[in-house]
Amino acid sequence: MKQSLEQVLDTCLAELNSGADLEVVLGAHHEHADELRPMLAAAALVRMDVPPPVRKSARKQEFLHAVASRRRTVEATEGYITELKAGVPLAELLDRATPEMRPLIHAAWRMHTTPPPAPTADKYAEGKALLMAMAAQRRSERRAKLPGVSDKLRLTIDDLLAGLRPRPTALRRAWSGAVATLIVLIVLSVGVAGIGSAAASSLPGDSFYGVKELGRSAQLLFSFDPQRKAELNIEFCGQRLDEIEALKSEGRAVPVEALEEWLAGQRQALANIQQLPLEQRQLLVEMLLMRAAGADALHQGLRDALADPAALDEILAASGVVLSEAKASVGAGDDTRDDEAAERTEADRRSGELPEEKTVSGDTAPRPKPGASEASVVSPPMESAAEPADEQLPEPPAEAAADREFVQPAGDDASGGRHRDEPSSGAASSGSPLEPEPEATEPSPPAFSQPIFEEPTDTPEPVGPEEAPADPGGQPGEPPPEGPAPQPPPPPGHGEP
Amino acid sequence: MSSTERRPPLTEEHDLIRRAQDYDPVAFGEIYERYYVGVYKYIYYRVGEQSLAEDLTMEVFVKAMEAIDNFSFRGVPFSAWLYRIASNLVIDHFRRQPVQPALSLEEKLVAAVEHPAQVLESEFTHQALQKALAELTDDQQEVIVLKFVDGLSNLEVAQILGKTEGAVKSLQHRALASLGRVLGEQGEAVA
Repeated sequence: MKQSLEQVLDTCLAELNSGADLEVVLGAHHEHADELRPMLAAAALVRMDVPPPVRKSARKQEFLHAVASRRRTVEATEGYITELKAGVPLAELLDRATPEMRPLIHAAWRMHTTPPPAPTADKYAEGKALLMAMAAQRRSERRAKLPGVSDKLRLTIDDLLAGLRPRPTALRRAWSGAVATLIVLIVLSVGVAGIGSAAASSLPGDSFYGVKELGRSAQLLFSFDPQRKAELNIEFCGQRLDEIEALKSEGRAVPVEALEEWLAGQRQALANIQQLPLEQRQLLVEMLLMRAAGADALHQGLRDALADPAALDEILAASGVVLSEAKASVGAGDDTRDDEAAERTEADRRSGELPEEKTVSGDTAPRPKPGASEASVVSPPMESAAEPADEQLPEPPAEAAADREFVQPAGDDASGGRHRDEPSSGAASSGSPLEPEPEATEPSPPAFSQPIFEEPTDTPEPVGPEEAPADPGGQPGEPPPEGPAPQPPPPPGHGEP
Repeated sequence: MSSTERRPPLTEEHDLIRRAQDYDPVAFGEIYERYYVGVYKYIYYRVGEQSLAEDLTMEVFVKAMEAIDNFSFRGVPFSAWLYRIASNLVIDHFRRQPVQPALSLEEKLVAAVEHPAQVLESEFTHQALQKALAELTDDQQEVIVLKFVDGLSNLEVAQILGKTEGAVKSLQHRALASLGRVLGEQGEAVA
């Protein structure tokens, strides 16, 4: 079969590539020799231009050598930088370096030793205040959306529980008590893999704190006697105060929800007390006041530990209202009667008639602190949570001191505004619901003679953090911030905090 | 924060961010105090103007607040996330702003109300360095500003820029070589 020209060309190229001579190949295909000759000649020329393998290898070696050299240079640069940052003098490094490396080292030294100008202290403080105000606003907006859902959910749950709750017959009461005890024992004592014990020692914000709350809810759910409910609620109020104190002592943020739960417990206790005959209210009200007195000792510094300090005043004011209502529920307006009641209470307690707290909620219930108990009737002066207003900022670091004129211009009255916690100091001063009572010199006055918390009066609202002035600072058109006051700025400078 | 050693413990930072994601004002105050100076330094040497750097730094924290819900710890520290915001803001700033001639040293001296002598002394080096830095590529500027001015490690710079540590070292070498050349052209004699 006769081959086409293309097939012949392929055959010839293969023969050429295998090393055959051009004339020999053409002779083997003499019928196409005239057409094949120019094409095969060109192919032979191209094949001759391919560099020999030895040159290719040399270039590869050159390339690898350049890569290795580059790597060494980069690593050397890194080494010089490390030494420079470690404090090795520039002259010493330059002495050791090759001439090619010296400009790099000099540039690194320039970068290392040329700090930018320090930011303006006023702008720094304004920026912080603005940021915190924006955060507070966003949080309030977020919370404003939540109650709709949570309230519906709570109502639904309450409805369900109300439907499930059995009528308080004697048998059911006993049965329910056993079930409640079992649940609490399971949750708090036995637990699975230590969950119960973890829950018992948990604090607000911990993973197992919900289990602890579940145990409390179970106890309340299966208690039908208003007096028992009141006792439990009062006891839980005390426990919650202890938990808040533990959070504070551990330096952790106190969630506002913890205080809100404490307040809700007081309200529930008051509602339970108001269901009782007058003669049964006396001791419970006193217990409620004693438990609430822990807040007196606790609130000191709580403002700093609280995640939302602005809510503190509101909650404590509301608590004061609850306690006032509780006192009113036993007709405690008459001091003489209060004195008699308190004396009777003290006498009852000494004679053992007053139930010990462990009869309310068991031995594990935290005992009221002696100081707190005293506070319940004396209302000791409350110290301001804020630090002294005249506390000045610490000196800026030495590096920043060089540019101090730029950081804190002489005569700048902003230095007064940079006092640590100055805005919050006003919050705990006049007009605050936490305004301290003058310290009483008489020991242990009657329990109802003085309110633990003064109710809010016509005094001006405390200058809380949210009312602190904060210039938007570079944010024109921004509404005046309503968030917390600016915290004291650290001395902005070149030195790192 | 300027180095790995000074970085706060991870659990502490996690707790701080968790509180910030709840818009806790105190948490944002802490974040501001912790990272302000570093971010400001970075932005200053990118834009070369103090007032503008302060405004952009504030904008970084506002942006961070707006996007704080989207932040999650996935191997990238919070500081790296902040610096990325800062980097993007600087780029956006240069995109939307026409190129304006920087104030000359004489103009700065006239504008300075106080301590002109100190302005002369300090601004000269700032201006010279800023001018030299402007000759580098964006990548090179970012690497050496983060590495020297903010004192970050190669790993931190790599996390911020989304590069490998090797690439950061190489960029750093090229940046310093270019900077050394530019400074030499400006009359900065090698000691």
